[in-house]
Amino acid sequence: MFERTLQDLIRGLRAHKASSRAQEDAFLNEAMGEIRDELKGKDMALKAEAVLKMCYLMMLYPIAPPAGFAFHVVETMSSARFHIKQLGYLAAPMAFSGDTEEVVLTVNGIKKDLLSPHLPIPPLALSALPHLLSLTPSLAHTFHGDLLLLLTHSSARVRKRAVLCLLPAWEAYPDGLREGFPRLRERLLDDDQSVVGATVGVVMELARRQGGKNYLPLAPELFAILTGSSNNWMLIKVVKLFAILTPLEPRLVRKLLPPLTSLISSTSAISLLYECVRTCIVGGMLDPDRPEGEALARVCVEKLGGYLRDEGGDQNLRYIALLAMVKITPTHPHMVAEYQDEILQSLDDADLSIRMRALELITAMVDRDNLQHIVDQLLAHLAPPEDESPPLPSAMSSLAAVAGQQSVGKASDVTVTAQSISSSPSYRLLLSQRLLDIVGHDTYVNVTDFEWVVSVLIDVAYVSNVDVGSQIRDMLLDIVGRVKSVRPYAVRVLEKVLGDDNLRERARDKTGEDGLLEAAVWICGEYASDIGSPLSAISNVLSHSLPLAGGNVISLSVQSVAKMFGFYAASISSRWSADLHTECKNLVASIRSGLEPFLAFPLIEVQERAFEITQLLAFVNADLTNHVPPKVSKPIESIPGVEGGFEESNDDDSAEPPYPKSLFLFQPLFTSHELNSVAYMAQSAVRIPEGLNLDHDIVPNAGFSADIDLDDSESEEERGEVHLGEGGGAGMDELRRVLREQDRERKGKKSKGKGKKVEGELTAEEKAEKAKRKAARRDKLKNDPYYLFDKNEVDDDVDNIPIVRLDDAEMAAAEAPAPTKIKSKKKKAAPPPEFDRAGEMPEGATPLPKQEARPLSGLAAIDLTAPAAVSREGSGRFEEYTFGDDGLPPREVEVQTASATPPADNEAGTPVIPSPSSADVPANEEAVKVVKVKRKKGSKKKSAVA
Amino acid sequence: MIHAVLIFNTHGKPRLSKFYTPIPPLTQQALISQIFSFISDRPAGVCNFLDAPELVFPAPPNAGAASNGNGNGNGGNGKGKSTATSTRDDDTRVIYRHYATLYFVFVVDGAESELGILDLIQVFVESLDRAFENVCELDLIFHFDEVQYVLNEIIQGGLVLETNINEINLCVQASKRNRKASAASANPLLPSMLVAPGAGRGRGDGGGGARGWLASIGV
Repeated sequence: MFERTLQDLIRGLRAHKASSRAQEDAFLNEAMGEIRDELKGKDMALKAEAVLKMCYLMMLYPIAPPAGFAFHVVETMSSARFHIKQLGYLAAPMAFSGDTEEVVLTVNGIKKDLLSPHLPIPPLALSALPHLLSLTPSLAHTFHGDLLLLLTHSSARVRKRAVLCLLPAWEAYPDGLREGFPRLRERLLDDDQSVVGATVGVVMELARRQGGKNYLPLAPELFAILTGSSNNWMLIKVVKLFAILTPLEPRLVRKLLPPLTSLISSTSAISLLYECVRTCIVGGMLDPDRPEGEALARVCVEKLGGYLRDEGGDQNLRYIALLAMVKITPTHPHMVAEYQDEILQSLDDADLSIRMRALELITAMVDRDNLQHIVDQLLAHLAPPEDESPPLPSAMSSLAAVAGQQSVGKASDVTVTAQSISSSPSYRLLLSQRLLDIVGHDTYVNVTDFEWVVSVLIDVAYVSNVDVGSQIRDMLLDIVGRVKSVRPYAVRVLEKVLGDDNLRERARDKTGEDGLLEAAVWICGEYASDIGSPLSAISNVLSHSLPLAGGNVISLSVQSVAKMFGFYAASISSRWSADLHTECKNLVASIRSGLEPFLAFPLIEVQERAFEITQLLAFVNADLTNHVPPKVSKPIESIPGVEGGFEESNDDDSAEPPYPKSLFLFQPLFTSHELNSVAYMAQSAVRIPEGLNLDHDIVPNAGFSADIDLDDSESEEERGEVHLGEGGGAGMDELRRVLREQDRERKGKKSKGKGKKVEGELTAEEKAEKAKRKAARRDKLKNDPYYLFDKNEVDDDVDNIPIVRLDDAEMAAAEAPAPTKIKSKKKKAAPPPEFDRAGEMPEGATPLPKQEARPLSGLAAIDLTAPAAVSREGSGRFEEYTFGDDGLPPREVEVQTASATPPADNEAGTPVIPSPSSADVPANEEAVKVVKVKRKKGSKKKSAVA
Repeated sequence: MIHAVLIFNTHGKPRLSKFYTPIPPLTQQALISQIFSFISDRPAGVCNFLDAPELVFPAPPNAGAASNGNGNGNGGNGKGKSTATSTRDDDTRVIYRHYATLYFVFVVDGAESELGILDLIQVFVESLDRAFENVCELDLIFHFDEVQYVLNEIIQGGLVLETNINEINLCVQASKRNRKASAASANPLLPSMLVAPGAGRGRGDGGGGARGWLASIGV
């Protein structure tokens, strides 16, 4: 009888919260049952209350609404009563999902409410509309006209809501942008400030989604707002919007600098000040070529640095200062570098957010000089703070409690949290990854000492305690591959790593050591010539705990042992002696026993490798056992050539070598080709062999039509064969047999001749016919949006494409200056090591194809240039954008487009007129004039691009 | 734009959640609890911006030109409808303020000014304060709908509608009066009797009964 209101429901929930979970669930079920009944009932007030209760429950619990809930919401939405209607519109975003069919039922009701003459009604509908539009894009088309109508509503409250609805509407219905853009533009001049604010917000979002190109024509209005308004919120938005626009229109910079500078110096709102600074940075206003740009940069950095330096100051300001400094670092690294200490300090901050920002900033700041310092700092963060804290935390805390009951206070609190942050795995992972990124940035451009890098990598593997193993492994392999000079050092250090049994144990739980281990195993095998003592290295690799490791490590180890043995065996041949003979025999035996567990290993790769090596060793073993040192004890001076050493040594029968020939069995297996790093895009630079024509049919006519023709004719004849008739006695049968035989003979001849003829015909007509067909097909496919057309095919003359040829020599020349510059700058620094930065290219590589800027696809690209066209035809009076104060003649706003993307003529449907004098041809106004602005040291050059 | 506005108390109990980008309900719940756990871990006196390596906010389905960074991990991605997840590399930020027993959390993208949003949270709280007269957590608990209405006057569809507290308050009061009038009448109320915000400040309030709005018909 007594229906629960929302308040009752909440009270009930709160009463049951204290009790058990089961009771709460029971209460919930009961409430849900009531809601279901009330929703079905006739009473609108009850229904509305039930809708409200349901919304409340949906917010708190992950429960699905009862079936038909959306329909009941539609009912409440269409109620004539204000409070029920408002409730319906409140519930609508929660009740409807993308597949809710009931949305269709709402269309008429919403339309009616939108156009309702009663002021409080349209805002209700408008407030729910964005969500509905994003759910059901098809609605956008329906409501678009109404929204445009509401843009000129008499009430500002309706206008501003309608403006905000345009964003989701246009997202769902991009073509509406063309129609509505002029109307949106008018709203920028609205009398009501909040309407203008909403409009600026919408323009901002549109510009972020599409790029600012379409909105450059709005610059005059926005500029007026910037200088005229005093609403901070709006100013912030406008300033942020200009940050998107200025990179597209460099002339805006000069126009904007005075107002921004005055805002920076005058405003009391730090938020606005910060956004101005940020826009100066992001908008490219700190051009070092200009004197005022440099000064402005100085001001900006000092403002930001002030926030950073302010001890005990606002943490929020420190955060955003770090955020903005990331942006300014690429252009003015030296200014940011002045605050390096503060930034490094921020890494110790108790606040994770600030740490992460500082980390990001540091990543951007790294250069040749500070790399080691910064990496050492980061490593210090990774290293466990003190060994005392983990084992006995209780004792520590109790001691601390005894020491200073109250006085410990906040300071220790902060350090505790700081430590806990350092130990949080995700933060450590981030830190380790950043550290590795810093070192490896741009193929080690900042690295001067690769031995140091190797040791850092090993340190990271030891202390990071997070899963960065694969990254460490890849970097180590990359470095030893590229930097020849570091190989001896790396092998020496990694050999020690191999001997660390603890490491093996830890490597099993994916905490960075696994990658190190894999790298160590591989590198020691590959560069076995640098190993100090191959015997111990082999026994370390084949340690007794190896079977416990992962298959990856085992297969690497097996291979590595073979490599090391190969090197060892080859090296002892020159000083062959009886001692070495036994040593070698023992080694072979130990390797064989070490490999034994893997002969039945479940992983096929491990098993196969183990078998191969064991078999080869068996051969070596037999050779060693049977070996009798020749009587001639003349030592052999030179080891036979390593390449194919086995056969060669076989060859010289005259002087039997004093060592067993099988010592050279292994080495040639692994040393035939040196492993180098492969250059970027090397695969695509492989030259296409002469005479390779992929367009040429291997089987003419794809093997189809000719055969089919033959088949057809044959079957026809066969049919004829069948019609010879049946019956008629033995004579007739004989006749038929003869006829058939003749027929078969004739046919055989014919088909042979025919086949020849067909082939001949094909080769004769092929070219003309096929070329024609191909051209036709190409033409057809050109307009087919579903066919990915190879543009290069059209460019028949590939040689004419201007491509910068990247020769190895040139690359080296281009790279050379950097190191020498550093050397001259910094005398004490060791000369930068030579290393293979570019990587290996295939022999006779063709010049790298220039990476083409891929044109945008999808919605963002389709309507990119369209609004510009609309704005042109729509509101001509705004086109004149004059620069009063710097004496430039008034000229039309130039729409800058990337030269790679096709201009808007596809959209407008009319060809671009490449005449620069189209300003005085009003008839062609809808044709977008695409003018490329070229900037060359301040002087502007205007050229029309077709 | 603003992706979400959340209010939860210091125990993580949601008091308001409003998502402006379509996110499946399960993901919403996961996100709320995730954000809460990060925020509640933060010591006092740190900044109001939440950055956490694990924090994953599902990207809006049509992020357009905005490039989504690496999608490492997808903790909050329950339903997986929007698989494109973005982390700190994207410009999505969580900005929050702590008032008494409540956290006010805004999830925004790079179009919003960080400090500006902090001011906006203040505007929101002050508006609530005016709507409820010394707002406390209980007000928000028991007037969940009214909190939504107040928010509706400030933000619509993820974009800021109004930042002027007086104007917000006028609209909130007007709709409150309209609701009262509409609920109090026995008969279905004709929309013509509704009060436009700011129009009848002295007239409609207080009465609450039919007399109040009947009087307003005459004017």
